[in-house]
Amino acid sequence: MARSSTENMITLMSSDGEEFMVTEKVARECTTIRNMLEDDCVITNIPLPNVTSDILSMVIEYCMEHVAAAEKAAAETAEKGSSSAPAAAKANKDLEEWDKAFMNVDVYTLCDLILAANYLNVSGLLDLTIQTAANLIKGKSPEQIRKTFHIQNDLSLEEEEKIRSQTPWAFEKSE
Amino acid sequence: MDGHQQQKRRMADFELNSDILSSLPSEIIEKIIVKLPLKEAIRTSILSSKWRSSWASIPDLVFDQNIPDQSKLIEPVDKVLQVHQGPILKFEIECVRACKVVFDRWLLILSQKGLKDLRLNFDTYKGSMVPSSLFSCDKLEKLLITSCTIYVPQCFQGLKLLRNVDLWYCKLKGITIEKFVSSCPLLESLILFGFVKSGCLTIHAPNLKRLKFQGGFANLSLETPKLISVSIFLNGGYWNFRPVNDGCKSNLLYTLGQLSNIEELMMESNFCEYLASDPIPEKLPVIFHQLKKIYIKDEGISKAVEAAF
Repeated sequence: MARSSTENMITLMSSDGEEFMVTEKVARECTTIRNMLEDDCVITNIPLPNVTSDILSMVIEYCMEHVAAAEKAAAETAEKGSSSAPAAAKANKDLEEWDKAFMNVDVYTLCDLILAANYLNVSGLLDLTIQTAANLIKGKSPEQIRKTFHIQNDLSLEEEEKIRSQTPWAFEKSE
Repeated sequence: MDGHQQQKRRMADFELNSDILSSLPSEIIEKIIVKLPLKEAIRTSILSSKWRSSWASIPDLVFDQNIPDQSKLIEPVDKVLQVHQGPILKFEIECVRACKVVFDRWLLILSQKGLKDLRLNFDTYKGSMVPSSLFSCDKLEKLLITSCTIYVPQCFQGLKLLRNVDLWYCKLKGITIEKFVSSCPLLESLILFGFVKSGCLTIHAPNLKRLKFQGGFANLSLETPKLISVSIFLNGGYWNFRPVNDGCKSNLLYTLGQLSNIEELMMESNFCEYLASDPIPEKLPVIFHQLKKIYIKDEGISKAVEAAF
């Protein structure tokens, strides 16, 4: 994009010391960074001690894709004077498809992305990852959920029975 | 960026059996659980000791189980309310047949839990009743109730934070809908479905932006300076738009005359017939400068043409 050459660049540094140059617009997708930039507008180098390079690169990939989609939609609106509903619906659908493909990750990456999205406050990514985690739980038996997420069951049979008896309705077989 | 490769690298870095999901902060676990149907949310309590009471602090309780014997849902709701900890901001229940005493019990608990959003969906109007304890939920912002009689206490002081009201086939006992509406100063959206009023319906709501009405009344008086969207669907027979008093105006013209700031207007009824009541108006009483969307459905349009000539 022509504008990006004149745009401010920000360097984000991951916990393992890798540096990522991004446009200010992409960096601003992270509310945490946006707040830092608003407090101190000359800042160009931001260390992110809670995010590893592999996860940070994915967060940046997500932000770049969403910024590009928003810019494309804005450009189309400016060109035609108004947004055309079918084109906007298609663009939304494309972005949804992209998100879906982006979420094709193992549970460890997913959990790290949730933590990064939460720390950097990228609301779209947080919603997406949280929903993906919920979808992985939905419709599964407790045993299947434990297997998916490697959850160790440390409850005794008596304890389990006690929990079930508190809200027996939830443990009835679905009709 | 090769995400796939990085993923592979990450896989190798981790011990495959570490329980990373459970180690997420509790507020994140809560966000995940809240996305699950309530039954599944509660079932996470037997995953491990860490998960035992995670579900019990979720702020939304949605009982969407459509079970044949609805009375069987009473005990589960009691149990869940008993075990739940912390605020309950949303409470929704489908098709439950419970007596007034049961709702009284639930609503008293909910009123102490800071309830903001209440949705009670009764299946059909079969004498279901919502007790006046509903009005002790003074933090309510959204209220949706279908098919029942709502008891309003005589000393009703209004729900000061209420913004959205959806009443479908409901009857109010104790006060009129007018009094109810005017006692909720922040009301922005009002939906009344299956509502019948024999005389003039007066809506006094200084902040009302959206009004949707289906049913019948003889006349509509709007004291709603911020109103921008109106939908009126009138059932045949109710809408008694005849020239009033001196025979110079139809009630419909009077209603339209109050909508000068309107942006969206939807009307469905024998609209043209009413509008063309003798004498036929030559112009509308106001110009709709802000109007962006208009939808008029009129099955009796040919009758209206007959009436006009």
